[in-house]
Amino acid sequence: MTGPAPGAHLGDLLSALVDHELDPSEDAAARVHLARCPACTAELAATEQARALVRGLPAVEPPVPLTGPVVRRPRRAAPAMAAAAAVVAFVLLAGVGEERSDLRVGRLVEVHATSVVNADPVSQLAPAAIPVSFGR
Amino acid sequence: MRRAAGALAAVAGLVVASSPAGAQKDPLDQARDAARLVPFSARVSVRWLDRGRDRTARLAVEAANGLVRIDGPAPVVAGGSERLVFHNQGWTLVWPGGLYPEASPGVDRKYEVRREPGPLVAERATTLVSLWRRAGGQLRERLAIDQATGLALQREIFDDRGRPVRVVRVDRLDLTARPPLEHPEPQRVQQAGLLVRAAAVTPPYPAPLHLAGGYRRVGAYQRARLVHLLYSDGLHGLSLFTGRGTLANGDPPSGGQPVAVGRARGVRFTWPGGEVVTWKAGGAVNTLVGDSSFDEVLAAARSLPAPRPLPPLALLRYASRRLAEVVTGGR
Repeated sequence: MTGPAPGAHLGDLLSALVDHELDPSEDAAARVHLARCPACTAELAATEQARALVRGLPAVEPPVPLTGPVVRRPRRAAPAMAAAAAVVAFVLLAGVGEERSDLRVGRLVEVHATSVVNADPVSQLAPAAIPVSFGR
Repeated sequence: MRRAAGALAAVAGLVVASSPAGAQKDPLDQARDAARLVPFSARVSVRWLDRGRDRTARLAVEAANGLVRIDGPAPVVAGGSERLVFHNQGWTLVWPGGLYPEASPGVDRKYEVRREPGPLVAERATTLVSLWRRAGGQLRERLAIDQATGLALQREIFDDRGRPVRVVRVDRLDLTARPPLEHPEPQRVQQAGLLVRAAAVTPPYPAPLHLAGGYRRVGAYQRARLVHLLYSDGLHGLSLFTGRGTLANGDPPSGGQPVAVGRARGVRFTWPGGEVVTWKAGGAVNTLVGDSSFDEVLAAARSLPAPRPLPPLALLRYASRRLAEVVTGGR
């Protein structure tokens, strides 16, 4: 398993981790490091927050004097644009865009049981040592 | 033997001395400190009600050098705030060290705490601490605290009708000196456990500061599209997980009971430590996991504000991104 050298921080690996560009072993090593390194955790938070801010920015219409000479506005919607809009509409209506998350109820239960860190560890964690069977 | 008794008295003194002078310490704080400071091994049984069936599991617990290890079908190790669970022949870091929630509300805000001499548990004298919900005057929890060490030897959780729904009990306690416990090295980090504090949880995720039943938000964590909000009423915890899309393949698991959460249809599950309600609302899946009784977890779920629909631009952006992910296979 490769990862940051002992004592080192993730550095560029952090960006690659966010972009899912690491191979599985690098990814696992980076996540273990991240979970134990407050500095890299803070950097990850800042990176994700910055990306979220950028994603959340409203679309800006360029000023006409700038676009005028550069972009020739089409007189009517191009067929490609119409096709793209149709596909997006299809995605919205047909639910193709529904993503399958990694939300597994058993795992979420485990995260909850271990996240209540200010309780008596024996009575709080003993149930977490029993695999969830959900009535089966 | 005399030396062991002296050491035990010193440890008990430490536990007591760590509370503010003259103040009656929160019984769970006291039990947590004792589990961290007192080396012991124990046999523990967990009994819970699952769809009317009485279920039991027995576990071995060891505590030394600030670590607590619970050996059951899925062994767990706790040290500070770090939590590791043994999965598939390797340790998984489920909750990282150094990630502590904000201070919980005081237990006496919602509960009246009564103390009286308790029963013998594991042949040891206890103090019985009963927690009564102030609104309605119901007994919700009872703790039997070891008088010599401060360890919680029995914890009973009751539902709104006063029935015990879960009991964690120490059946045998051994306080003889223990070798230090090994701190396991994790092989991986659970995806949902790789959490960073969210400065502000962004819409459209619901992130109320309070939920019904006196629960206050004490932590907010976010990674990618999964938001985890942690709530506390001073005694019990509630975790609200929200993610856009649907549950993973095979989830929700079978064996649940249908429940109504507002206008949404949800599913209820019981786990050995509490209750789960999962439901879909506004394009997101909400899963509320709590360690109190079902009536409290459901009331909290129903108090969650209805999701706000995404504005058209955000909806278009979301759909476009999903389309791109579908076309490129998520690369």
